[in-house]
Amino acid sequence: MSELTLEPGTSTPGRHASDDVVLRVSDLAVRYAAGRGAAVTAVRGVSFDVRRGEVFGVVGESGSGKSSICNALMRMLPNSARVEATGVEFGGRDLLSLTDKQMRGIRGTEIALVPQRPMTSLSPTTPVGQQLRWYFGDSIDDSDVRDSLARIGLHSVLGRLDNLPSRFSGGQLQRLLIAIATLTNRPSLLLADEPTTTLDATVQAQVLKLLLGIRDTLGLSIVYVSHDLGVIAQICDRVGVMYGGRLVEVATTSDLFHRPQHPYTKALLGAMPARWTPERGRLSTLRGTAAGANRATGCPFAPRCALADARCTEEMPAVLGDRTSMVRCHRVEEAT
Amino acid sequence: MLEFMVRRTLNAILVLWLVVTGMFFLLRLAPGSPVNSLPPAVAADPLARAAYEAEHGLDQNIFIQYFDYLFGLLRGDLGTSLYDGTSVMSQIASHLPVSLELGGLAALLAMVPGFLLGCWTATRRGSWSDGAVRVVTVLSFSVPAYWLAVLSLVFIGQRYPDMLPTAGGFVRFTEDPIANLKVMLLPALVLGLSTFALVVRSIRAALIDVLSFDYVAFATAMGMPQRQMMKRIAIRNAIIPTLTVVGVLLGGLVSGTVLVESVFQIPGLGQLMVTAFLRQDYPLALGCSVFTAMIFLGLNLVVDALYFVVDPRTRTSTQRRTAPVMA
Repeated sequence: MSELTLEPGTSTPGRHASDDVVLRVSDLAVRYAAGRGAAVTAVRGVSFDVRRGEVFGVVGESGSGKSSICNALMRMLPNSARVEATGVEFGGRDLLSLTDKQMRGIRGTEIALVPQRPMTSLSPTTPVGQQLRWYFGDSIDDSDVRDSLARIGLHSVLGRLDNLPSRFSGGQLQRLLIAIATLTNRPSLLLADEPTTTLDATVQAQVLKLLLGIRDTLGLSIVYVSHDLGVIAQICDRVGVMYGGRLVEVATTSDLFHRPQHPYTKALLGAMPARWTPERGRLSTLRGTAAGANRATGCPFAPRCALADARCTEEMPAVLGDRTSMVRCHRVEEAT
Repeated sequence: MLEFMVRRTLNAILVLWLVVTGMFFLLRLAPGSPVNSLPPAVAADPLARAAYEAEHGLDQNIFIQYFDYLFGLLRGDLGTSLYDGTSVMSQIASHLPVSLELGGLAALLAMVPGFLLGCWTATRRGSWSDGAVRVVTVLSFSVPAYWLAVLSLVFIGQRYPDMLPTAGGFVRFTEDPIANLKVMLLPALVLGLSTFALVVRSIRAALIDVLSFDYVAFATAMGMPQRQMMKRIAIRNAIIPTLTVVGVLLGGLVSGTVLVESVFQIPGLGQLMVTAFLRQDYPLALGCSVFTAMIFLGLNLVVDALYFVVDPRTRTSTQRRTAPVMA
C-alpha cells in the first residue's frame, strides 16, 4: 500500500458502550522456556479490549510479540510456552481457565483464525473441495452456501474443486481460508495474523476489502496483526502499538496517525515512506535495534529514545489513560 | 506418470544387468573351481577334471561363457547346477516361496506395529513414553541379528521346541499352515526387528515435521478434533517421505533372509544361495543372485508406483508443481 489513507475502514462503527466488549485481555504475559530453566519473555503486561464489530490492530516490528498474542488467545502456543494473565475474558468465560476440550469447542466456532501464509495453510495432498467439505460439511452442496462463496470471488475455485491447493493463487487461497474461517460457524471474533504479508498489493487490497465486508455483514470483531502501518490505517478502528513485548500506546486509528503520543509511535510514523515529502530531505530512521527490548526493566524503547533519561531505563511507565486509549511514557506523563 | 515408470523400469533392468555381469566375473575370478567340490575320484584325476570341465563348458573362453549365460537368461534359461545337475529354475522355484513368506511375515510384523507406534509416539513428543520408545528402538536396531537369532534359539527354542524347525524338520505352509507359521514366527521377528525400529523412527520424524506445518495449525485453529486431524491431514502427508524408507526396508527384508535362514535352518533362497556359493556352483549362485536382485528392484518399482497413489501432486507431471497463476 503506497497510498496512505487516514480514514479507517468503510463503515466505522460509532462509539460503543463498554458492555459491548467481546474480548477483554488483562495483563497478559507469554514466556518461552529457553532451556536450563531460563525463559524468554515475548509478551508482558498487555491489556486491551476489543468491541463488537471493531477491527483492533496490533502493530509492531518482528519479535515484538504480536503473533504470540494471537497464539495465546487461541491457546495454540508450543508446550514450552507459559501464558499468564489476570484474565482473558471472551463471551463471559476466561479463555485461560477453560479445559482443552472446552477450548477446542471455541476454536473455529467462536474464535477463528486467518493464517499468515495462505499457500501452505491447506493440506497439499487433498483436493480443495474435500477440504471445504471437512469444514462446511454437506452444506457445501447448498446453493446459498455456494452463492456466498461465489460472491466473495471464489467462483473460479468452485469450478475446480477437484484441484489441489497448489493449483490456486495465494489470493484465491486466502479468500478461501477467510471463507472457511468466517462462514462455517459465523464466529464472533476473528484473529488475522498478518494475513496479507505474502500477497502482492492488488490482492492485498481485495483481501482487506473482503475482511471489512464480512465484518459489516456478520458483525464480527477482528484482531488484525500487522507490521504494515499502511494496512493498519486502512482497516483498523483502533490500534495498539507493541514494542519489546509491551503495548506502549493504544488509540483510535485517526488519533494514532494524527496525534501520536509515544516517541516510538512518532518515530514509526516518521519513518513511513508514504509520509515523505521532498522538503523533509532524507527519510528519518530509528537508531539501533530492538534486540533485548523484551528484557528491559524500564521502558523497552528507552535505549533508542531521544527523550529517555535514567528513570526511563529503570522504571516502566504506568498506563496513562483507559482501556480505549492509553500511552505508557514518562515524558507524556510529565507533560500532562 | 507412464513416462516416469518406463524410465524407472529401464533403470532397474540396467541395474539387473550390472548385477549379472559383476557376479558372473567375480565368481569366475575367485580362486578355486567347482570341480573341487566333486568326489575325490573326479577332483584328483586330471583327465576326469578336464572331461568334466569340457562337459560343462568351463574350458571355454570366459567371454563366450558370459554371452552364453546372458542369452540363456534372456530366454529364461538359468542353466543346471554343476553339483547335482538339477535345473536351477526348479531349485529356485522350490526355495523362493519360503523366503518370500519369511520376508513378508517379517514385513507385516515390523511395519504394522511400527507404523502405529510411530504415530502414537509422535503425538507424545517429549513425554516419558516417547523416551521409552526411543530407547527400545535404538536397542532394536543396534542388536545384531545373528546374536539375537542365537539367543532366541537358546532361550526360546529350548523351552518351546515347537517354535524351531530343527526339531522335526521344516514344514511347508501348504502342508500344515499352523505348524509352518509357528516355525516361521521367531525367524520373522528376528528378521523384522531392526526394520520395525526404523519404521517407528521414520514415521515419527515425518509426523513431527508435518505437525509443525501451517496446514496443521489452521485445522487446529478451526477446531478440527485431533483424531480427525491426524487421520485426514498429518498421517496423510507424513506417509510420503516415509514411503522411500519403507521401500528400501521392504526390499531388504525379502531379499536379506540369508543369515536368519542359516541360523534357523529354513530352506529358503538365502540358504540355497549360501550353499551354492560354498560349492562354487556358478549357475545356481548366479541364479539366486539374479532373483534376489529382481525382488529388490521389483519392490522398489512398486514403491515408486505407490508414490502416484499417495502423493497426488506427482500425478499430473513428473516435475514438481507448476507455478500457480496469480489472481
